[in-house]
Amino acid sequence: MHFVINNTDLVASLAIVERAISTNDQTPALTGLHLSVQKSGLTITANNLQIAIQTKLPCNVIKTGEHIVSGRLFTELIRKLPAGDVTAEWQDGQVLIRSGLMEFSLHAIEGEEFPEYPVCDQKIMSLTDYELQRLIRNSAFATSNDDHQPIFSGVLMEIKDQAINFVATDSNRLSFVHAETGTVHTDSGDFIIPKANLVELGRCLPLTETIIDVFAGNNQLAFRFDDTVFVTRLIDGRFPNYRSVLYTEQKTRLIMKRSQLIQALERAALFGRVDRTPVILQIRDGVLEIETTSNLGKSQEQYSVEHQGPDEQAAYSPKFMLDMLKNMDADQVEFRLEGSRQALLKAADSDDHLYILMPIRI
Amino acid sequence: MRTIMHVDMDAFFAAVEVLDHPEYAGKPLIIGGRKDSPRGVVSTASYEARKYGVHSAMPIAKAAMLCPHGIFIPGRMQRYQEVSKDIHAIFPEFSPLVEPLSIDEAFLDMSGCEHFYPSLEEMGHSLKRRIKDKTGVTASVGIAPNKFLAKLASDWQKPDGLFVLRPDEVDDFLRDLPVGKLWGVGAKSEAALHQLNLRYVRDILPHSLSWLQERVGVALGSQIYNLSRGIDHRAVVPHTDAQSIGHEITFNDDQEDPAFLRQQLAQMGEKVGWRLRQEGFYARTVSIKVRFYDFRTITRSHTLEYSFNDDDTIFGEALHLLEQIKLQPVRLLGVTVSNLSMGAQLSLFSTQDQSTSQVNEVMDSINRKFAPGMITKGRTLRMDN
Repeated sequence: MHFVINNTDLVASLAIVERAISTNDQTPALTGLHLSVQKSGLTITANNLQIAIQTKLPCNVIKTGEHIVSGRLFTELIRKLPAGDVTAEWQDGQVLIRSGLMEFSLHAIEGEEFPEYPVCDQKIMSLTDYELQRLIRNSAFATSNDDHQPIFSGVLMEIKDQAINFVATDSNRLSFVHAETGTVHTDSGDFIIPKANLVELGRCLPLTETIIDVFAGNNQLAFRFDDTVFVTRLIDGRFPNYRSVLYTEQKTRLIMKRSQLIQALERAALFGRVDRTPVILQIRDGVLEIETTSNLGKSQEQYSVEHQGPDEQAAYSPKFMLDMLKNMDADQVEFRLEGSRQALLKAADSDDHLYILMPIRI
Repeated sequence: MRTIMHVDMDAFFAAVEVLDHPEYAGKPLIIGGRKDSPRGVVSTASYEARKYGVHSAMPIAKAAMLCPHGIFIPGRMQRYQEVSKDIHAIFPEFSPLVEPLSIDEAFLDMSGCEHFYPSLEEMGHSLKRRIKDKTGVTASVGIAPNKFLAKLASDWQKPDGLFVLRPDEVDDFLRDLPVGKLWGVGAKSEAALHQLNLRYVRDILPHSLSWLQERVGVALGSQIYNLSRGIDHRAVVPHTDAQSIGHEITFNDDQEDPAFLRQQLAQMGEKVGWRLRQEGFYARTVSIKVRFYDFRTITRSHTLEYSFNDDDTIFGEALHLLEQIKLQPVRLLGVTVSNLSMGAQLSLFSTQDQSTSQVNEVMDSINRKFAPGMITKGRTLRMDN
């Protein structure tokens, strides 16, 4: 193996691939980067068995070959080199890195098999990087952090009736996001993606109006963009029947400014623990009263809002409401409630992102 | 400069017994168990009993040896709590900043209230009078510039004492204090300090902070450095959030019978559930504590997906935890709930049972109307009665 490459290009590729370097040194190969030089250029691969990322980039090939180097060392070293050309060469069991008058030799990780790159070849959908980012950002926050129920720690990617939906729930609240754009290449499919993997994918996206092609494989899903393939494992199991709880016909509806509601909830949350102390929302004749009581004291605020339907009162977790409100960018939000049934929070002018939350019984 | 008042009731449980049984006045009372019971420990001894060397936390058997003609009383916690409530209700008349420490002790931050009284002594006297008039029991009061000193001061002229420690008297007051009296210095630290030939506060004063920290650790070093100079910045904290609600029982004899332990769990589960609902909380975690005959103590806990406040869940979870433990003779058993919140977050996918909460509501209202424990579930009763 011997190649010369532009350092700036290499740093950009490593910034993506390094997300799949394992930090667990039980399996040394997984803490490494697999460098493969073929006639077509350099392929860098990392695989921590949760996610695998592979990216290709052009280089000046002097000799083909493949080796595994310490992922952390290689990445950090390349990042700290000056701009310009870098040479990497396999020599006497070492990978020699040269840049100007600097020379470094890295021990290769030898005698280890690097896992085969997962095969995902059934193309199921295509969408833009911006759309995918929106789907991830608006769903992932509603997952559960509880390891006991793996299904709830994942986000459901659902293809149904030519539509793409992302759904996440921790069993107390549920976020449903509908893709506005995108092309579907399959009839239907349910894929539960671990939240952490999905968040990593979100961070890798180029955000240049690039089309992302999504492929399904054996309990894996591949996202292909530019010269990069991001593969995530999937969570085995059945996602709960979310459509049975996606209730939107609540009788009482109110519309108000999002920033106003956020500030009111943040003030109320000061009176208790944001995840423990409920706020009571009471709507009466177009006036919304937001109230909380704890051993620290009491908060009470009134807002005049757009109000339809009967007067109503229920208590909710301010954390659950704020999680959603802070993820939206709508100026006006709509809140629908009905006694002890699930409530609905959404942008006033769109149904693409629905947030269902259960009240708190007090 | 702050003015902190520490109030400590005198031999509180014994004082309540004398209140209800005037014939006990002047007699050695020992609260905590029956004389013939081998297990209990003294929770309170009257001052007359203390003359015989009886003190709290002493095994009843030893107390019976020291003071064979003493009056041994098992104790009526509920009655003590009643009187305690009356006393604690008085404190807000004196200051809005009250930190209850226990059933018979509290700190009051009196800073800024000094000018309502002709003197600090009169301030202390008026609180003592108010407690005596309202409840009939006596308190000792200490007034000082901080919590540490106020607590020392209340102990200074017990019982029925009042001691005011002014800033310019602090150094003289502390000089001859044994190091074991410093807040945070327990038996182990005390022994460590004695090793260093530090027996009284005056022995600590010549040493620098770093000298002390090198020898007894950073935290304890700075603590004794400050306290020996009368410095204590802890604030009077009005109310600490309840983190958990629990109940435990020490058996007179070691118990191994699963049916008996199950029935005890049921009883404690009801008590814990009752308190949980009285405070308006829901919990998510149930823990049990088991102390075996050899004092080995284990705790086990389980956190549920949802919030609960009903006896059935507490009992069911506690029993499940107990069944997973390899049983040996048990000396103490306890049930605690934690992870408290003000309401029950409802779940999207499971319909929590409404009927058990209604049962609890009805039972609670009966128990509130008559007396706690008036109505109970069959599983809390013993088979033999």
